[in-house]
Amino acid sequence: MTRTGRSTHELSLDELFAVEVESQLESMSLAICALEGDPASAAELEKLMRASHSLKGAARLVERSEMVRLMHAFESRIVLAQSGERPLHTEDFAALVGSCDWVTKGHNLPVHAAEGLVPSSAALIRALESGEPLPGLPPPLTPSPLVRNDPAYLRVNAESMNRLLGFSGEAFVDAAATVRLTQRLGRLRRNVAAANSKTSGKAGEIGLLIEELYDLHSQLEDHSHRMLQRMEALHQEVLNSRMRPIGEIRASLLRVAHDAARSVGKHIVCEIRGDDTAVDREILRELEMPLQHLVRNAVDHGLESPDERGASGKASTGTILVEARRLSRTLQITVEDDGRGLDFDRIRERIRQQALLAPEVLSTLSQDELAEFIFLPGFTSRDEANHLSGRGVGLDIVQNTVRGLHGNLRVAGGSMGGTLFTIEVPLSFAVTAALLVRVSGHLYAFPLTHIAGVGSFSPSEVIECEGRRSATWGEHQIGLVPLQRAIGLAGVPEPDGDSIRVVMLQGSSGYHGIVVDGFAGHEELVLQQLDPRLGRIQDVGGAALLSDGQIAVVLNGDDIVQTIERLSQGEDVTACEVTRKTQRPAKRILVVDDSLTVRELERKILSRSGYTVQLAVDGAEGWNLFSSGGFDLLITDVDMPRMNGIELTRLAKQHPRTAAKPVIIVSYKDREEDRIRGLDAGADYYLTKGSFHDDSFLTAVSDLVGPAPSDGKGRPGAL
Amino acid sequence: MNRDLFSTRVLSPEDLEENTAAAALPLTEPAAAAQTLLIFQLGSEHFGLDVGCVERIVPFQAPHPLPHRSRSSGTEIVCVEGQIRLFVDLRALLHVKSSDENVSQHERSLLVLRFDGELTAVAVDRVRAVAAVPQIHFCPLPALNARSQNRCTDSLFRYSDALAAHIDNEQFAAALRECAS
Repeated sequence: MTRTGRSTHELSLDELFAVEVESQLESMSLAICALEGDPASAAELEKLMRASHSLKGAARLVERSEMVRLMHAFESRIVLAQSGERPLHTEDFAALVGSCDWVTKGHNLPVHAAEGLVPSSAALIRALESGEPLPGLPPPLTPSPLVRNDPAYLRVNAESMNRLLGFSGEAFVDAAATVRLTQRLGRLRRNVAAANSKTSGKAGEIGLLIEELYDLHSQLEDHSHRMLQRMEALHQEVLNSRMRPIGEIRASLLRVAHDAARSVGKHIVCEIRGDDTAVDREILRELEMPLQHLVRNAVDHGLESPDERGASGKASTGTILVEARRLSRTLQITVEDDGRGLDFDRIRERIRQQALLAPEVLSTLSQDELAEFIFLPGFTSRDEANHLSGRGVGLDIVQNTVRGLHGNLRVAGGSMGGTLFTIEVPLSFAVTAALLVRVSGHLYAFPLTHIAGVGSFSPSEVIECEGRRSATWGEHQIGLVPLQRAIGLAGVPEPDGDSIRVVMLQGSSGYHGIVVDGFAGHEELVLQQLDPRLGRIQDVGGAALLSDGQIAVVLNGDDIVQTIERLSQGEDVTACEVTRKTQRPAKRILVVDDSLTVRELERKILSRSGYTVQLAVDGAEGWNLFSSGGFDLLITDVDMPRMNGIELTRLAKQHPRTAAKPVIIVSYKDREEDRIRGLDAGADYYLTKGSFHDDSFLTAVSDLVGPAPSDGKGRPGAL
Repeated sequence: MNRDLFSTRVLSPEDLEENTAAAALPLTEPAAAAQTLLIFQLGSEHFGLDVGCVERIVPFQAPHPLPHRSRSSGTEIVCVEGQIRLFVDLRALLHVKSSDENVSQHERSLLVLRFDGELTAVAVDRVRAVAAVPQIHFCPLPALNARSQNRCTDSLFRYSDALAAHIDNEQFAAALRECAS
């Protein structure tokens, strides 16, 4: 796995190379530091030689000829030192360090030397070959030549920083608790004084005690408030120390844009706004690659060639605008181009060609639904791949990365006439800005990144139809689902007052309203992961302790949207005309797939055919649900995080509770050996994802669990 | 040995914590064939749990339910001294019916238990004592009970004027694990 959490087979060659550069540079830096202390260390020379050799090989693969030449000279110099022919001297280190800096600078990694001091590759090669000092460069720094010699920066272990953040958060909560205890003591003091004023005997003695209590309370009050303020300041400072400006990835985005434009012969202007917007360094690091991909995508897919632009009356130079801004407590980054925009006819055509949907279903999809397909793994609107894109690999990874950051990614038409991608992520991993709501006497938190709005409705504004409620919010008619029901809690809504409080979330099929008992303000929560024994719990992102010691369960924005959509679709709020007739119970099917689009597609096909469908996002969650019982069929993908579909199938077939339940594997892998592997694991059917096109998917389901309860309900065109 | 260990009075969580620590200390005399148990009440039923697995006894805090979980498995989360801990419904685990007896929140306690390095909080209605119970006082559960759903208790012993069920550590740990997952 890479630091982005993706497995290496998911990365492009360029991305793999970047990962390798970072890793080899780290080894080289450590070896150079060690060699400064002991220039003849055979072990360190060997490490340095191996790392530079690997880097040279990798650079050759991606055609970085200048780096190949530099690494060749570097490697040759180390080989000479290894043989004893030319041992390393003090002046050699400037060239070694300079070479690392040159590679570092070329890869937009943090440059350790001062910007202007990174020498040219030619000068470095000369210095490595001749052994002469580099002109105009100060001698290397000791003891660590690769650490920025700037007193304003200090290297701190990331784990230590995380622990510090945890402690400061807990200390802040403790300090707030001390303030509350002090307030209780104050109330006690007043009560004792009041009681004393009513008594006549021993007034003098008790009066003295009250005086002492008064004094103690005053001191404690001052002290606890000071402590709370300092703890708050400490916690804020620790949080701030993790924040980095977006501008740190400006150079990398500009470079990607210009390299991509040059390679496909397009003229572009790439503008980056909001450099100063600060975000948690972990999030910034995770966002860099997705943003690079969106920029590359904008150049290659979004913008037209100069000729095409000229023909359509546009300036020959295309514009790409990357803009970061802080929205409340979330970070929003948009990548917009003034190109041709999404070609929905082309997307529809590719869906048809790739047999992803039955034609009658395809014809009913809205533009928003069609746009979702560009995030499907393996989906591309291109006929031929080039070196930048067209293999259908990338946007799905961008989406997964953003979702991994508890954020969301949307695509729409932009104000410049082209395509607009919008990423919204929390500003910090450690702290989640959230709306607190009260349900059945407990607190739950919705991440602000996923809230479209909040509203209060009077009972008369709520329309009730067949026991399901909806209301008008702005221009939207939204279905209302009580949170208790959505997340499987006991009880019914108990509104705080006369109004019905609703949290609005935006899903792929529009807005949804979640009814809560009341709002309890918004807070920046220090998110804690739940006990790992609980595994992944659907709709839950973690938990947080509030300053008053109460627990709030933090909901997972993406999960809850899907849950609500599922409930809304299963119980269509507008379906007043649904006839009530006795039906046999619907068969329950669990669909496990890590691709949102595939998952949703399968759900829609099955639910429209009358089956009851539940979804899981990976094998582990799938197993948690399936093993809990109540399902008639398991449908699973193969490649998924945490537990793949083969392992899931095997587990299901081995466990006494689930062994008798049928399993269908649906995968893009269509080789015979993949099919055999799936069937060997115990699957009853192995289908490819093209089966959605014909009847084979539904036929297999019907074969294993029988037809849906009401054939009349299966309206294939009504997805 | 601390005489309070054999006391039958209801102890406060603070007293219990002190006694638990004392009982957990190595014995200076040769160990008698006895097991030191934390004796607690759930409703009207008494139970004895090996004191070695009791990490902390703290005043009761109401647990927070977990979406999709709490109704089916009885797992919740609870704040114990500034940490969010997994909470398991002991009544469900030991198949103790909800009692009509009105237990005040003050009397209820949270036990933080450690099994295999994992901490789990459970709520009990009353902590009664920490007592060394001689092995000869244990009698196996009747066959009917042994076949019942409650696999966590394996024998009975007399405590004060009541019969208490002895909780088998291994089975109990397994049941907690199963509950959590």
